[in-house]
Amino acid sequence: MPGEKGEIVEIRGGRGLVRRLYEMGFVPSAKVEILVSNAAGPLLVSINGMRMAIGRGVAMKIIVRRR
Amino acid sequence: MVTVAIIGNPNVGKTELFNKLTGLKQHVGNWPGVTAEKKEGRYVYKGEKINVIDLPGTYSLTAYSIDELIARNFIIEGKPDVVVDIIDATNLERNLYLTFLLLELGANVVIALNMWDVARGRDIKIDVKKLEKLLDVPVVPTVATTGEGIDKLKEEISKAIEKRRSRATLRYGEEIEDFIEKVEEILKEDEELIKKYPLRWLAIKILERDEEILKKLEGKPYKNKIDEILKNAGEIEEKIVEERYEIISEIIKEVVKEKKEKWTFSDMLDQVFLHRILGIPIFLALLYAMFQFTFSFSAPFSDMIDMFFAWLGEIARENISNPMLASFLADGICAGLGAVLVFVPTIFALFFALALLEDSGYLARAAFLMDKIMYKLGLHGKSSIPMLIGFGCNIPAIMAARTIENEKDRIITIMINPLMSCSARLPVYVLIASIIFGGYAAVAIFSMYLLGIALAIIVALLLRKTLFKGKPSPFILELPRYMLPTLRSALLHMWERGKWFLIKAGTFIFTVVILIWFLSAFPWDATNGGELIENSYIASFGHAIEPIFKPLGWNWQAGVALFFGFLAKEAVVGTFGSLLGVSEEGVKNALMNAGWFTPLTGFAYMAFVLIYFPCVATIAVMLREMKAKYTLLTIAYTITLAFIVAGLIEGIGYLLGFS
Amino acid sequence: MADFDMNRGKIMAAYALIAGILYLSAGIMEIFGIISRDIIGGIMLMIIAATYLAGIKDTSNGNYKGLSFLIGGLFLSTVYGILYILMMIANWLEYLIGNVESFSLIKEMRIEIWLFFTILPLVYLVWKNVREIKW
Repeated sequence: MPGEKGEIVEIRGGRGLVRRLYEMGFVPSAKVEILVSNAAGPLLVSINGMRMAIGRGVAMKIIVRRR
Repeated sequence: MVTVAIIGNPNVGKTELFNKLTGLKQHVGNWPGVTAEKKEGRYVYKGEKINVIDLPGTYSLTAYSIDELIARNFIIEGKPDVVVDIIDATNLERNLYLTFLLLELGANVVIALNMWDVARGRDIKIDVKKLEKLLDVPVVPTVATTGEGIDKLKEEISKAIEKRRSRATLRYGEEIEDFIEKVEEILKEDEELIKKYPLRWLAIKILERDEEILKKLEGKPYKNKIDEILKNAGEIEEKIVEERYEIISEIIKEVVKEKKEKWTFSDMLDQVFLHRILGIPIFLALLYAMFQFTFSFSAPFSDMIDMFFAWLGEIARENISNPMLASFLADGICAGLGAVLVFVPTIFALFFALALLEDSGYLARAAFLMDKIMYKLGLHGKSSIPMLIGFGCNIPAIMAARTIENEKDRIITIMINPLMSCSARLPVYVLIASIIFGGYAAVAIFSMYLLGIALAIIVALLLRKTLFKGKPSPFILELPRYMLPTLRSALLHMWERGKWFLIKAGTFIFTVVILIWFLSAFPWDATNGGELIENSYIASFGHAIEPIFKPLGWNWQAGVALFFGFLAKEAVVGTFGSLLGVSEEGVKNALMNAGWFTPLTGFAYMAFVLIYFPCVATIAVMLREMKAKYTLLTIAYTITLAFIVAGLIEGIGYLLGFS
Repeated sequence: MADFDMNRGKIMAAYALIAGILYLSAGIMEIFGIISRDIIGGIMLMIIAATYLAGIKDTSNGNYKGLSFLIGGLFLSTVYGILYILMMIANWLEYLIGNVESFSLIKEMRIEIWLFFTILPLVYLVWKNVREIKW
């Protein structure tokens, strides 16, 4: 939901995807906030001060603990 | 020769900085990855000539993407004297990752802390001295847009060229350092590798299971020892990335003091533009406005150019005694130039509007909105942009596909691009539609565009199922801050994209018109200076290919026009003009009287023009962007599809009672 | 989401409501041909109306979220306002070069242009409230 904040716990995906996400800063202990989340389609999150759009499939692989 | 390389994340103002250093005008865009080619420049500082290379904007230096490999290999092999790392001061945490990697690579780094003004505006306070101390590299705050800090940057660069600071390394935790040591032990013996690469960096890359480096280990005697270590190390590459971020986090804590994040303007705009219900309608509204602007506002200018050349042609005809020369100048040169330049206002208007959207940052949002739909079609969200541009001209559209990282996605996007009805085809639609459909012409034309989109969807799905199995690559895109586009940069962008059209298409179109003139006027005596078309070369040619088009009910003239349309789609109308013996102005009436088309055959003809293979210029660009076999495949499918669809239209129409 | 003065919010919300209604009516009129028959244009006007209306509630409560919609609406109004002004100029040029028989300023002033002038004061109001937001 928009406005939700959390901390990344882990990323469950293929090596390539995990690597790419990591390089972009989606690492465990990184703080994430959801900015825009519509019923379907990509999400917009704020991470490390950057605005990143990620597809839903990608988002589902990122496990986050809510704060 | 002293060389300085510039590197940094996308969207940090790297290109602006490059311009300020070298004084060259370059392409500046918010859409990440457009600046994919290396750029070089030069400046002089205190008498010393300094070469500057602009490396691709990347987030890191893995072997996963071409951009990153280019950057990395340049630093290793090109051995620049200094690497300027441009960092976005409002985003230190994320940008420092690349810095980290550069230091590991052993580069002689000078940091340009760019967008200093924005950070200031946001009350972000950065302790520059402390950062310098912790990283042990010079750090210069800069504002690339105004030039602030550039002099100091040049000074630090030259200082670093003279004498580099000590090579401090950032150390990982014990576990990782242990493994690094183990690998270094083994690699130490390999003279060949050590000469080229820093030892520690090699070790780390191996632990990261870097593809490029691992390839270099093939066949080495110690390879199985390395494999042993890797097996024991397990998922160490993830730990390495994690620890890097932890170290960076520590640095940030000591160096950055910022006020609690409140809403930014960009956040506010994204609430509206990415809204689940309003987002797409707003996108459509902007799109519609863009096309209205492109076609309606440019119309008078196109007309003015048209009239000018027609007038010029008249003058030539009246004042030159030699009929052949007169005809050449009037019907050849003037008509040719006119045909090309008439499109200039339209094309440039389109690219201007596109530039505004791009510079403001909206285009990335468009990709975001379109992703859902694109995914279902087997495409990537980013594919929507080239498809959009394709409505103006396929050439820059195909080039815009470079921003799509995944090869398969990219190729599919390129292959369906010709089905996006480019602006060159519009005159043909307008001409035929207005003659046969009269008041309903607009509907007929609109249906062509829809047909193109529908076919593109089908072909995309087909390609996805057969040749390029798999799903589109995951959608991960950075949405840059919204910015107010400047007139200057918009005009620059417009020129950059538009000039492709002028050069490639312009030369082709011009050549084609001259060619047509020649073929329709010669043999000179037989045709009486171009009046009796039936006796000309073009007629002979037309009759020769007539059988191909007869089944579809098109006469030889229509067939010839299609043939020349292959060279440049704009030539179709021009050919009609030449064959009917009139200037472009009078084509409509002449065509109406000549009665070449019935509503059914005309409609099928329009569809054929929409689909059949892309103009030569487009093909040339395709060959550059992808393997020849795909280009050939594109040509093959488009021409086949064109015949099929035209045939179907006529077939169904016939059954429905049309003739 | 920080708050701002709710009184100002209510004024802006009222303005947005009026703008929304105006655009909606104009949109309907354009679709049915009461003024300048243009189905697609009419739909676009309704989209703009929706944008304004979407932000009323939050604006009157003093939330920035509501202002976002107003800003979006103002942006679209401006785009379309300027667009039709440019088209008017284009038509005038066509007249000058002789492609069109007549040109009457009154006929050419499409409703989008009038509406654009109407919302200009709202731009000022919103601007005052948004000034401290960082870009």
